[in-house]
Amino acid sequence: MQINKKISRQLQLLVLVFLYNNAFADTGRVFVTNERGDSVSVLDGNTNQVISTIAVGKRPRGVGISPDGTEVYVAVSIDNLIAVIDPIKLEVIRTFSCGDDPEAFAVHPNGNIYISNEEDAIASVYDPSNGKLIDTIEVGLEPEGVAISPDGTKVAVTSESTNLLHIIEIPSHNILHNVVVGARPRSAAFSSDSKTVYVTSEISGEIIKINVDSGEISQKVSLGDARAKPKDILVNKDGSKLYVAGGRSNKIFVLDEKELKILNSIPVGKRVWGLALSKDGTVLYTTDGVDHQVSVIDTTLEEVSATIPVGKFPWGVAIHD
Amino acid sequence: MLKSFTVICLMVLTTGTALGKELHIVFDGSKETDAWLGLQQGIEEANTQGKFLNLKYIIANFNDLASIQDKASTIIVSARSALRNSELATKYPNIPVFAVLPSSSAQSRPCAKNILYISPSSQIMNKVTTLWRAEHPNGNGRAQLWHYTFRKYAAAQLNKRFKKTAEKPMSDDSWSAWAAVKLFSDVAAKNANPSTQLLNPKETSTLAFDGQKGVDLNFNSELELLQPLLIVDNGIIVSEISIQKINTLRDANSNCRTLAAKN
Repeated sequence: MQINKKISRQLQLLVLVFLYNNAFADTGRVFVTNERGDSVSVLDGNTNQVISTIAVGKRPRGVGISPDGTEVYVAVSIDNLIAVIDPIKLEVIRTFSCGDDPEAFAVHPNGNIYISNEEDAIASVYDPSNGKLIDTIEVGLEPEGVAISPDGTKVAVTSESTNLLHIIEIPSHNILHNVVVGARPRSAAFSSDSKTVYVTSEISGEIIKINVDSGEISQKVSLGDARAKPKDILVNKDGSKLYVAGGRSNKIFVLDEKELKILNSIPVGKRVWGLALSKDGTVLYTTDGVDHQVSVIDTTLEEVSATIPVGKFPWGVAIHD
Repeated sequence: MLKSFTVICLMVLTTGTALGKELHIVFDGSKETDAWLGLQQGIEEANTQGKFLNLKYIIANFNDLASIQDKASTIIVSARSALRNSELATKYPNIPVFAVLPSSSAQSRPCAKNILYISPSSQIMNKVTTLWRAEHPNGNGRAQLWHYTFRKYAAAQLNKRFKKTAEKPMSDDSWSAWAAVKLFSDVAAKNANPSTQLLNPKETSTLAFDGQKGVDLNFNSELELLQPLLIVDNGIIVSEISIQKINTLRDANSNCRTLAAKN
């Protein structure tokens, strides 16, 4: 009898683990915010088809995924809120207020969200499980790009109109360094060892490499193309290359991480801003705003393998993988 | 007692405070103008940046100039006539004078190594207007530096900030004065002697200044800030004219008259 009970409990646990794994399994879906479409397009990463379009509110921009993969977050700028989407059911399950004009954000490994509030010149920290504001951090004018170091100890915030990158300690939220970079810094990305942060400066057309501990600029390079107004930046899986969305140059620039040399440029659609790289590093998605499309890049060949029409002026992109 | 107080005041004015290095902006113009409002907006924003870099921007007056030792951190923003700009440039040869109003007459403007023109000359503005109207015979558009409905390139954010503090829409003159201070603070963020940098043609021709117009702005050899212009017709922005197109309208000969060899 007792043996039966034990087996029954073990079976129950197995069922729970099975259900948990299935409920939270990565779907390979790609979530794209449509800035002027007031929606999120959901793409099937295998077929490159739009499988759903979710209305989220006015001017959705930043998008990110919870560390456990159970929720997708969207910054809805004009409505001043974060919309939380269930990645399985593909519906908005709740929203919470998050200060004025939320733009970009990053999700900390502990689940908290660090958001740039453009009009308030602050970065704010929220617990998305209950929508509670944990802290606010004063930064420069028009904060935009937010990146969290893989080790979770730093957050980098760009302030566009004051030409600064703020490197901020977590959890104290003290600013460690204010680094003067090129005009209109828009995005940042950390190296996998959290020791280096890379920044794009849109108006000066530069990529800047900064030592996180010292706050010193170790290298910078101009993209050398008058139309190249870089926005998003990502580090490839092995850390040897950087991918930069070239804005109105309509190209993705591939740079060597060590020398910041331009190795290649991949033509994509018009006004490319957003980037997301698959976990295995083989697929790069770009949002081509003016063409209202997403380009899918095979990173091995460094070629576009597909383009997918989405909503009006796609901005951000995140992969549920 | 009075002597000690004076000494303390002078120390504050010349060496800065514990809050950081002080940078001085002298405004020459009426405080009833849009240029004054733009200047104040610029200073507020410069100080937002300055608090992260230990820099403090303060408005000084001409009487202060004699006691300010750090002339390399001082600018004059002039919302006066071309003649007055010439006088200022001659009297303060080592201080950049930002001329924020377009010249009122069709005559050429004074050139000096320390007069930096934020606004194109009225000749250029008129030529851009004429060209646009020739291409749009039914239109009544006019070239402007700025417009309060401009939204692209984060212009909407600047317009919103200005309206919030000035309680009126941002005009050409207010943008121009804002830009002068923003330019100064951008250079000061990177250089210990920003005014000296602003007198260096190598620096002014490669500033990559962000005037919230979507492109990097630099001065030409006559120290005019090259920038896209807006065509506004009946209160609506109907076109943006690129720097390249505006450059085709410039005379081959210099548009400015050099000041006497005092500079």
